Amino acid sequence: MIELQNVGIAVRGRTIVEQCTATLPSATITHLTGANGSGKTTLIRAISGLQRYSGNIRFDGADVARVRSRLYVCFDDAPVFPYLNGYENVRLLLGHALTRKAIAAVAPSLADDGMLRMRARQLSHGQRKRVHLVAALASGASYLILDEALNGVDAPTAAEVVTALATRAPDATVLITGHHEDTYGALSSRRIELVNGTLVERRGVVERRGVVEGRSA
Amino acid sequence: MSVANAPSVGILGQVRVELRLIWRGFVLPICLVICALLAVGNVVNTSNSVRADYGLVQHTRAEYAANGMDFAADLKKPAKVTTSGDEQSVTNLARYDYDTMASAIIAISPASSATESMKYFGFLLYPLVFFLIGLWLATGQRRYRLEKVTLVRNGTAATVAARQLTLLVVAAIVTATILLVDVVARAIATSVLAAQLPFAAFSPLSPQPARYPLAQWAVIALVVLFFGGAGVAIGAFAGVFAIPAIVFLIWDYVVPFLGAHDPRNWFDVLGHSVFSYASTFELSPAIPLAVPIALTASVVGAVVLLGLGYLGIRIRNPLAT
Repeated sequence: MIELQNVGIAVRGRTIVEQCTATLPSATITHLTGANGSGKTTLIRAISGLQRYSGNIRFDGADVARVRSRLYVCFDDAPVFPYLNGYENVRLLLGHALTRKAIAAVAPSLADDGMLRMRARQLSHGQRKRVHLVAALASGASYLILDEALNGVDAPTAAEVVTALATRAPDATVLITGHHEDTYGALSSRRIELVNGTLVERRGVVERRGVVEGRSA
Repeated sequence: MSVANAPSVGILGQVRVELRLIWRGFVLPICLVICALLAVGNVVNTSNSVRADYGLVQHTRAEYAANGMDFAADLKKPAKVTTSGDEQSVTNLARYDYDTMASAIIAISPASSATESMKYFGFLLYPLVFFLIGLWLATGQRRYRLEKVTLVRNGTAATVAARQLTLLVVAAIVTATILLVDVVARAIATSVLAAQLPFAAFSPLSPQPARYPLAQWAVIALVVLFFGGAGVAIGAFAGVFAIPAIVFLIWDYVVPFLGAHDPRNWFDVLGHSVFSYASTFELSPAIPLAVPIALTASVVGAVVLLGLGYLGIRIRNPLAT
């Protein structure tokens, strides 16, 4: 569970987020939505410990510094090291060794062996996103933040990601951002929207992860 | 892998990541190749110097013979060097040239590898090499927008500490490579020269300058910490590689010493205090400064730069994404 209590963020004197309070429960995929420039990525940076903020952000009661090894953030620009192949980039993103077999087993249809053997500079942006998604799924993290991670990924693959999440990290707290309501609405069990710097709960799109699993199966 | 056994990366894990990046980013391989070539070049230069010194001895011996002077008798008397302004005058040229040749033979032997290579690399190249490596460590990941991934995983303190530790590991790898190449090159050069020149006829007559191996290694480590730390700190603030690299290059190799407390002068003072520069490579003369002051200033400077690396990444942190 991730708890945000009265979180406020100002960048160069401009308030981006103010008095945000929300609880992101475990074993739930929460979809964070909002207009372009509404502060979604800034809020994610604050949750990840990359951005100064006021208020409190707690991961099952703990500060981000105590949960780093259990937190994985999939950034929207999908950064990779160009001189390493896909397997090596997954290891780089995780910061520890993992066998090729273990990486390839994460989600074969998401990133096959051929793609993971390619140097990252040869990969398209969509393929780089897939490398990040493989790393996220292989991370074993309790807290997964996927910032625009499914943009450029087709709908069946997106459903496969959610299925893999349910299998590999059933108790994880997952926060996902993105603009495609159809895709994210179907994948998430809860939706919150960032409007004028505050978080608003959106109802009427709630589906359990089990239903999504059932669809993709 | 379950949530429960997600491994903690830690500083040593991050050092492995940094080493992988600096290796696969070709920075370390290029650095090793350049240093190895320069080590060979240094030995070639030194062996040319041995030949030149032997030529001088032979020339002086011929001059003595032409003037009816006793070369062997003069060898038993000490040579005296007096300096007046820019001019040096030498009494007893026979002994002076003999001593120079004897020192050159000692300098080129594999046993002198550590001292001879470090007094050249430690002050001429290490400041630049480790500043650039520190700079690359601080900016390489940012260039590929990977720094935020590292910061999320490790936090700022562990990230900077890992970079500083990586710098020390890289320094050990670079130094070990230089020494290995240098020892082999000296062994080959010695055997080639010994077959051509009568080395046995030049056993030292004068006491050799004192060597302080521990102090020499301590000063070299300080050079790495200071200039490498400067690279990490400046990279953390600047966020880019090229501009600080060019500015440092100009400052280090073009701009004359800006005073006694120019950091380059601190290390010049320390270099002259622990190494004897009487062979091929001469360290530039230092602006007079007491050794304890130079030592204190450089140690304090290195510590401050380590702290600045941490401060820089904290200040730049919001921009890292």
